[in-house]
Amino acid sequence: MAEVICPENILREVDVDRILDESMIMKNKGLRLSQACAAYVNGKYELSYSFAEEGTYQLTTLRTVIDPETEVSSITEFFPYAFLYENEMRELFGVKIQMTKPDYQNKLYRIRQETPFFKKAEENA
Amino acid sequence: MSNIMNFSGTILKNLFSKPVTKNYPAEPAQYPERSRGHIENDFDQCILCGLCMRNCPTGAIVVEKNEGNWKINRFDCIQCGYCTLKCPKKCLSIVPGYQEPGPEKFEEVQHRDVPAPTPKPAAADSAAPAGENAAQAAASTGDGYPQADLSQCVFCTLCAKKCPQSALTVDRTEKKWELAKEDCIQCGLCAQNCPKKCISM
Amino acid sequence: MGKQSIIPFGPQHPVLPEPIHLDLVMEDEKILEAVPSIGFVHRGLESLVEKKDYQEMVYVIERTCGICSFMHGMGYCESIEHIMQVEVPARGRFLRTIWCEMSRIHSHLLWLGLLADAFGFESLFYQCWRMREKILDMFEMTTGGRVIFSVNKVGGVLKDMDEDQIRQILETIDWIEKELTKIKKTFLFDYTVETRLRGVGVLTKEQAHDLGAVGPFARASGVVLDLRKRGYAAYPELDFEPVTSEDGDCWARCEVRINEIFQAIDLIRQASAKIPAGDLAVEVKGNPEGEYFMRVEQPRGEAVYFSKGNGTKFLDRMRVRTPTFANIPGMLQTLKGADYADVPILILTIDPCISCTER
Repeated sequence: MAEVICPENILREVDVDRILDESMIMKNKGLRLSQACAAYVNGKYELSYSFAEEGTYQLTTLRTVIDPETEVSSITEFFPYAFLYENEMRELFGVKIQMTKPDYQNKLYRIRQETPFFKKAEENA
Repeated sequence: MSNIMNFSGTILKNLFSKPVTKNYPAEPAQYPERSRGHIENDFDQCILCGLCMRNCPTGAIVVEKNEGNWKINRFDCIQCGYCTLKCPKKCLSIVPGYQEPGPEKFEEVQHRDVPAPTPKPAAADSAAPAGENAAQAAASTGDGYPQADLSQCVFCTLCAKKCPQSALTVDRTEKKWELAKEDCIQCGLCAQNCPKKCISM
Repeated sequence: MGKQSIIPFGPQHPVLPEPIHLDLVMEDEKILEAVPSIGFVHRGLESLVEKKDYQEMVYVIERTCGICSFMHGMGYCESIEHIMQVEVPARGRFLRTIWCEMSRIHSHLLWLGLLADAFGFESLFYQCWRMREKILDMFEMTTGGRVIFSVNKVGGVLKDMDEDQIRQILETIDWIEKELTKIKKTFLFDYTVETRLRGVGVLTKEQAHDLGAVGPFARASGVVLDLRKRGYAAYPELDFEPVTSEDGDCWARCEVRINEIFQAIDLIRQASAKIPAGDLAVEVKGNPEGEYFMRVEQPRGEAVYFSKGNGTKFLDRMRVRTPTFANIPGMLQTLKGADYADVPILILTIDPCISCTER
């Protein structure tokens, strides 16, 4: 029988200023950025950065809850391939992420509406 | 030599065997029994409750209870079969046979004549207990919502279990029978299933 | 140093039916850099959670992609089942596994066909798709659909397979195994095919890790990463090891996928031998409250489903991260230094699905 590893997902809330430091720690641990996404819940952005560990298949998610105006620093410095996720967050939700490289200037998705996921949430509220 | 002429065997075999494709229009396609072709409504069974309309992911089904119409836009339907799961009467089914393409979308209508709604007697709730139950019962009078004759009711909760919208709350210990009017779709399943026949629509 | 020029590639291209656009910075025939841009087919499926309740959403999510539709539906359902702590009956889990592996076979056969087409071996392409057709027939027989199956629901599956259907599936995969063994030689050891694939677009193990590659693309570089090991559906009860290869070039990716078809065939045999009798699904009452990150190994790699419920029937957020999204950075790396003629093959070897990437 094959060995099956099934660890629980870890969810940790961190302060928005700590995102860079924490992701550097993850990078040094050898973790891979599995996904990053935003959600707009009750007038606040919830950003989730999930890091996956190879071998143990553990998923550690860093969660930060911020006001729409708060600026977030990009983690592309440590995880260059995060640029797609960050561009997506900025484009669909309008999360203010600083210094993403490369910055698509809201041209990642060719959509007519600006930050559609954010506005829709606002109308509902 | 093993690195070349690998494919020759397959080519030779294909050269001397029949085509794997079907000669389609001449030889009709065979659909398996479970094939998701289109939705069919056994209209005699249909009670026009509108649950299919509410649960259709694409909004292809429109039910007009008062006019007696059940409409489906075959071009919007995605054959997911969710309506067949939600149908309280199980009169909807998915059967083989695809919708033929057409130059424009159209709706298919099934119609039955509905008798004009007759005004109900106002004082049906004779033995309604005091409080919100009475108010509820009074409010629902005469507009097609279910109402229970609480003197007959044994609070068996069968109506609440059968309600597809979970709009009914029945509590045996507190002798409570409540209807959440905004959820009720007037399907009449509660009245049908009531063992004491104390629910009227 | 030669003269630099920029050649646009896509979104319409004869060999590549995927709507991706690349600006290739070229020096003579060599690519120096590739700048991707996607977003031609953004549909906003994720925002539909605000309008469709969490059970209807299954039918929306599985329409994210036409190839891994079953796994999209399943991944979403499992994420909701985790939130609501629903235990799917064993038979339901085994049926999901069988359908999953059938999806893997048909996806990989489709990809092999496209690869053969991309390097100009059309009769090989026909052979692959001929086999795939049989799997689609089996899907139609068991679920009623050839592309979109709609057999998942929160709490289990909707359709059962009887003995006869399982026997027919086993016969089909026996036939596919026999046919694929013949074709495998052409794919892996044919002289002309090898010249197109060997040593092209090498991604080392370190690069694969540093660029966050997933799925067969990463496994071909020697990264052992197979989310089925995480144990969803009935995988904990089956015996398998992730298929890997060492070279990290296009040939290795082809080898990994071919071996994964054989692995999938083996898994279907195991699952059909062990499948217990019993219920297909459990009744799910109430609304989800909480959140969960579900990860599923799709034919193309790891997919992440994030569901966040707030106790009403509408979810707060549903997010699908498809494998291609994670593989684009790795693909850009393989493009650097490659010849222009190899671009279609290099894009193809990550098995791109741009429509699911944009959702």
